[in-house]
Amino acid sequence: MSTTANPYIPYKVRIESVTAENDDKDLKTFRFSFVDKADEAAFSHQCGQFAMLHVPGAGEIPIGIASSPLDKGYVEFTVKRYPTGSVTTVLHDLSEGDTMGVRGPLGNSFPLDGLRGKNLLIVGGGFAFTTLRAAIRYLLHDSVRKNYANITIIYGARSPGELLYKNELAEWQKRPDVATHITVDKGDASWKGREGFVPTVVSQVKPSSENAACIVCGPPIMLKFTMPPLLELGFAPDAIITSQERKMSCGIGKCGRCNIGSKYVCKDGPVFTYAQMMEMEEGS
Amino acid sequence: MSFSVLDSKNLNKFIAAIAKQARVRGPVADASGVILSDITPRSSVILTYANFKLPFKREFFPQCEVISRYDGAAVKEESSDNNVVVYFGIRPCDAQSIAMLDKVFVDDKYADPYFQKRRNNALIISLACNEPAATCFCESTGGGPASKSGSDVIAYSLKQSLLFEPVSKKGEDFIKKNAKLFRAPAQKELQEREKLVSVTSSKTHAVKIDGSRAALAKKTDSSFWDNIAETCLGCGACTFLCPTCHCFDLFDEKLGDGSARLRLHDACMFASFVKEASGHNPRNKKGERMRQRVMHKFSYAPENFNAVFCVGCGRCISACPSNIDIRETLAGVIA
Repeated sequence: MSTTANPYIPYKVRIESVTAENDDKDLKTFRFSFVDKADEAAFSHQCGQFAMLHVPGAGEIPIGIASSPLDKGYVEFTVKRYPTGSVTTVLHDLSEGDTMGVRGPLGNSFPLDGLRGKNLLIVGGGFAFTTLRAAIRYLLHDSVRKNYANITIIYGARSPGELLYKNELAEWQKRPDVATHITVDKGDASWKGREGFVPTVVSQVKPSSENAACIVCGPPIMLKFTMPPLLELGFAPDAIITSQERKMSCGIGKCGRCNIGSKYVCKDGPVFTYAQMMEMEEGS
Repeated sequence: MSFSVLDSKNLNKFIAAIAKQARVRGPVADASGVILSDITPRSSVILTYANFKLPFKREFFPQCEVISRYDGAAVKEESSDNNVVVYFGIRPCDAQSIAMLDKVFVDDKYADPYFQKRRNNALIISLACNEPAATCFCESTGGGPASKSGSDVIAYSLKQSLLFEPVSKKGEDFIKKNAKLFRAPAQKELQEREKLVSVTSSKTHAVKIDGSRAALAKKTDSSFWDNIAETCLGCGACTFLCPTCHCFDLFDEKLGDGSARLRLHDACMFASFVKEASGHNPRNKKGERMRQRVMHKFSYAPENFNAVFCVGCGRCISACPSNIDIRETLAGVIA
């Protein structure tokens, strides 16, 4: 790190914009720029990693990085506010121009380099879509897209208003070089798209598992019901890549909080294959 | 192996000499028992005690510390003093715990600068045990009353003298630098040391640890853990007094226009330890938390660090208000 070798000290960032993502207004995307430009290069992240967001006086929270490493000049995070969340409630009240801290990047990442030449299936549900959005932005970048074969996206939310990144979803749906399937549990009067749960849509779309890998992120219940159709389609457990979440304090494998069995989600994860997860205790 | 002797009557001279070089901390009595405290040549240093009530880890990883401050503009690392500290009279189990914590805080991709700085500034002179307590089982966890792991120097308290044996390079340098404080050992003293070590070893209680990891892997039945945890009050005393437990929490406290970031010991035995803002709690039951603590020490740490994270000091046994005994838990696991 450029400013300090102390892994507990955050980089100072300025909020460039705050975007309310959903009807409930409890999901906001924060775009930060680094106050010291040298910190941006030092931060340099990979898709799937997370960082600790520090709101001075309130505390820190671990949040997945929602922007692509190729998005220069800023880094984005989508944060859900919980009424009992002492940091998220304060963070949601901040606005453009406010400064705060970002500590990271932390954890491992999606093994995208190792998946070059393969067909990719990306499956997301709810607000766990954030690091998948980082991966999709990266994969669809002009300089990167050619390195991968077919890309299929399946993304679902409770209702149309709860879908994240609505403008980008519309752009991806227009692109011929990516198959984008958006679904909602239940539509409303104006919804013309697909209805149905993510696991069902996976079975309907039937993406080929030939020379393919799947990256899937979502709430535990969605993951539980998405694994069987993926396995049925022929995806091997080590070709199914997912990401875990746990409460964290340090993010660097010391505070003893985020372990699943012998693995720390912060340091050994957050990205694990389904094969690894099946071996992990308490993992599901 | 080279030994240097300090006649017991010269202990205060020794403390006076090293107090000129460093801050010196050692065992003295207070109302609560024997504690680790700053010592001077006038202190009544005690050499006969089972162990300190509080674990040695607190010297390197305090129960509460400020790690950084926000002054309204930037977050800055909290500055701390850079004094060399000579610890005298640390029991070998406690010294060994520091070597284990090194694996977490120092020998890692991310070194913890707060722990590391205090560690670099410390010289640890451990004191082999003369009389283990009824709850001591260090021999079973890979240590012993004269275990050297984590020590820079180990001392043996004989009838009329203290025998010093360097362990690390740092310890060797310390003995060399202070050579004039010591004399060469008599044959009788070397024999006395050998006898001390073997007699004390025989007095520690044996607990079967071998095979516990494999047995734990099979103990997935929640009723086993629910039974053990049934009387647990969730007070966390076992973790706060454990010399190898290193769980902590970080949080901000508002101070004027800024804030301080604090690090506090925390405990996996607390119900809120892993509870998320959403309300989801991956370890909602006492039995699950009990299992986590035992698994961390006897399964996860051996897997990650090739070491059982228990030094057999017995503090968790004597402090538990509902008499939960890790020795019995392990026996139940292996049975």
